[in-house]
Amino acid sequence: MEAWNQGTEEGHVVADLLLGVVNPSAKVPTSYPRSEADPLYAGRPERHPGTDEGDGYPVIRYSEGLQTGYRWFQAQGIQPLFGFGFGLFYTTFDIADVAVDAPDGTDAPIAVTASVTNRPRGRRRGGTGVSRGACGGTSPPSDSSGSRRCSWSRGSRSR
Amino acid sequence: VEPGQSKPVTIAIDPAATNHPFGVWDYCTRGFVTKPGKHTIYVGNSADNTPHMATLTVG
Repeated sequence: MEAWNQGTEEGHVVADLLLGVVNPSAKVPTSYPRSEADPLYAGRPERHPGTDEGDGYPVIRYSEGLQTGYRWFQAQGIQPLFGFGFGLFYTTFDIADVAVDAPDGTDAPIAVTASVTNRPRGRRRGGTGVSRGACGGTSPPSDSSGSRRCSWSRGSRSR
Repeated sequence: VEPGQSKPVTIAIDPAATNHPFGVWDYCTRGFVTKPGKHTIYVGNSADNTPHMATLTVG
């Protein structure tokens, strides 16, 4: 377990999580690389930390385009160590019966429905991504366009 | 979702939302546009675990 930006209640929080009083529900906000060769700046100092182009200070070039964050890993076919949205819980959730209802195409809100099964307890955020792969080279492979916390249960001590 | 139980979940994707879920920035027109083509909607628990997908054709 990794705790970041803890406050004064850190001890109670970590204890409750470790003892199962509450279910962990955090999910990583970006993809974590498996190797130092995997990030978009590996071998590309002009992307990070920048290179001196003659003016005496480093200049960063965003030559990765829209392939930022988890999109880099998807676009390059790199399996991350932890993909955007990864998180561990005292449970697993099965997703089934996925359906997309878009009677008006992209002219009106689109409903993505699914059945989520708790095996055996906890909560988890479900996510969707929208790919624009057919739109040409200026698009990332996918976007995270929506997510929803699916509620949870852990008996009378839940909170 | 209670332990051992299932629950239907709906996630709405609003094309008019400020994150432009179906749009890309058009440098020439200085605006977001929704280009025609097939869009794939992935459903799963993380970016590298999306076992479900569906396609949506625009235009």
